[in-house]
Amino acid sequence: MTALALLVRWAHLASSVVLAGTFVLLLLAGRAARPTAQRWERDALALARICVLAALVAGLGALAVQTALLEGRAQAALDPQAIGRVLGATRFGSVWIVRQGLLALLAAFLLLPVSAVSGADHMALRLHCALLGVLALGVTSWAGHAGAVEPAPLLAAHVDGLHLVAVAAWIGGLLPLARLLGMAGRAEGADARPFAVLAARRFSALALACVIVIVATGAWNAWNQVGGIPALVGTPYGRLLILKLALLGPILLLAAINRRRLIPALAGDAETVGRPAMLRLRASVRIEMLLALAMLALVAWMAVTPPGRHVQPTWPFAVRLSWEATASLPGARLRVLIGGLLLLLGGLAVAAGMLGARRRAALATAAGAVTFAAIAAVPPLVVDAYPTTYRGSSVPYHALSIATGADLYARACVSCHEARAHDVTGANVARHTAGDLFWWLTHGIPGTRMPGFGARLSEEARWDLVNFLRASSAAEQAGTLGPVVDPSRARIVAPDFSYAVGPSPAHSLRELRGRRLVLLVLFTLPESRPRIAQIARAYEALVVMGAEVIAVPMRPTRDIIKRLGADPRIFFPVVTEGAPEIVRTYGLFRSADGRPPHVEFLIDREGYLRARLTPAPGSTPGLSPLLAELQRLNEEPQTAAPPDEHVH
Amino acid sequence: MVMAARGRPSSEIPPRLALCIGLLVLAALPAGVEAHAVLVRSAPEARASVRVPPRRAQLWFSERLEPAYSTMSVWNDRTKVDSGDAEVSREDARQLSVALPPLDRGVYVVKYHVLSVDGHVAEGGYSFTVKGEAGRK
Repeated sequence: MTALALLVRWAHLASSVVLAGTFVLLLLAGRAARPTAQRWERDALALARICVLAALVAGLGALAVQTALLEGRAQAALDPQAIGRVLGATRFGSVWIVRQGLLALLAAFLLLPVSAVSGADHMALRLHCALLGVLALGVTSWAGHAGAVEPAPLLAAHVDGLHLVAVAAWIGGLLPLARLLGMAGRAEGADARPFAVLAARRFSALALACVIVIVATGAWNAWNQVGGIPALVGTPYGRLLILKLALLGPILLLAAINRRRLIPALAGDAETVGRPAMLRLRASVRIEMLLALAMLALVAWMAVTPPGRHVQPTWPFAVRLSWEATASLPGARLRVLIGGLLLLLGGLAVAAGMLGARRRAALATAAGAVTFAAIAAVPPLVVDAYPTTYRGSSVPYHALSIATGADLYARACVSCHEARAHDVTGANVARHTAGDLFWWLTHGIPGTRMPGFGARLSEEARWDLVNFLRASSAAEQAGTLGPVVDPSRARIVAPDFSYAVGPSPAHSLRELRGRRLVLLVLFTLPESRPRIAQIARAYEALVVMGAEVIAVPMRPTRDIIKRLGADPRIFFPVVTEGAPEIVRTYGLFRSADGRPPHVEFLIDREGYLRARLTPAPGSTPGLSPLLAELQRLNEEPQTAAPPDEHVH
Repeated sequence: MVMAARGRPSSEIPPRLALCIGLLVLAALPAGVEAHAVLVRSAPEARASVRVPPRRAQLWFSERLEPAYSTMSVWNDRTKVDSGDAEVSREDARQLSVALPPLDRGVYVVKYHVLSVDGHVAEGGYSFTVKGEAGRK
């Protein structure tokens, strides 16, 4: 089924690209006056007819395949009811209807005898066909990966549509261009040579513009769908993209040769002057076109492959570069900085080489600078890496997981790590990725006493441990977190948690993200009673300032709300369910010294811990310091990106 | 003429080249096709142990869903316990939920099968536990 889906997609894409590109070239070439050129025009229109029919048929095939896939049975491909459901109730269906409609209109123009007498009419007809072809192609972006990009699917679909249209205008025109060059390059085709030369020159100018658009939109798309180097080299989608770029290289090289060498050689007055160049150009264009068709096959493959961003990457190398790793090496950061400067110098030399006349000298300088930069900067950055290094946790960074991990740590790890080696420190953990920790937990560390727990603990349990280690490390970082919000401080992610009050449905901290500031109060009775009363009285003011209060008893009992008393009335959630996990997790962040019976955390709208308030036992500070911090967070522009919420 | 003759051999390359490219593509074929929409969060959460039985099971995905082909169900052992009216939210097309009757204590499995707007199907599931007081009025 996958192979069939792939084939149908490729046929769909290739025929649409050639169709649109043919009309763009017909437009560029203008109206043919000589017999050979007119013959080519008829050929090109015949090609367009084949393409439009192929695109329509491939469209029917795509619909059948999609229906079978969605209904989960092959026979559904021919079931009118099932097909109707796909057409009527999915975005794929709506886009399909629009696209087939545009193609049918185009087919009508091509198959019915519409003749244009005047030159203007002729061009209008071509333009019309080109527009229909381009639209039919561009609209497919809405039903593809680009149309599902959050939070701005329309923008992504437009950028992707532009990418497709630029591709069509360029590589879609190669097939008819090769044909024109071949016809005009023959001895008996001499009458079409000026026409062919003009068409090739215009095409070359357009192709250059298209390449610029393709590179810009392609880079944007890649950022949206792949998102980074690990996904580029470590996921099927990313690797397909690398392969696609590898094909693009020779295509661009050929295009550059055509543009710089062959097209200027086409000009000449004598009958045979441009002919050899024309035939060489045709050969080059043909190769370009074959490479392009292969590239479209990769594009079709990418369309049925999950975008790299949604897939856990498998890092293929034994090492990676890490800036954090240089922190503990004396003098390493200086080396890296010198290397960086050299690299910059190399870049400048390349730019100078492009613009200036002394190209060789500039490029030699660049090569030298880059080599020295690599020697200086790379070695201190290199650290060991593992296949799972860039994997994100498959278990959310959540109080439930962290509390489970804490239990596991106490049971399975403490005996070695706390009793003998004090090697699991916050700084140690922070230097490595979650994926590194996962790898060591799973496979052990060769040459040390650390065994692998892959066979003893489930994957979930291992991620729980990783989450606990990350939380502990973050808590160490939070050691100096004070009652005042410091905008320059590195952000600490507030672990998510879910909570419920009495019989009401559960909520989670994350639901408040982007909407409310959160004051998380961990309290103990009776010590906290005056402070809770103070917050309850000021609750209305806090809400006006955009804050929500969540109160969590450190020693939860069933009658905790009753014990808080009826006056003043408490309108914020006092957590009765989920409290143990929250206390366990946020207890890590409580304080480096002592375990105060009452602690408050201020969490910003992005989901980061920004301040920690620990009123001394017995004293009840006024609320004005808290209100000042809330005000500070309200006035702060959003500077930090929200924590990655990708869970796989 | 000599120049023209030189141009010709190069035009004979394509079949071989095409073969090479074909082999290259075949060698790079990734195995299998996976899901596209990814479960971002759920309520009740995976592995959660709740004392109060949830009235709805809710799922949030990374991409918008096609309501006609997105469904979910909740199971206890081999019995389907949800109300059967799983629906994609009108306000947020990334959210899928189903109503639940009062659940007794026990382990429940949530299963989903969704189609995202880019035309790809995703499947999955997780479990949660209801503990403490059983049933609810």
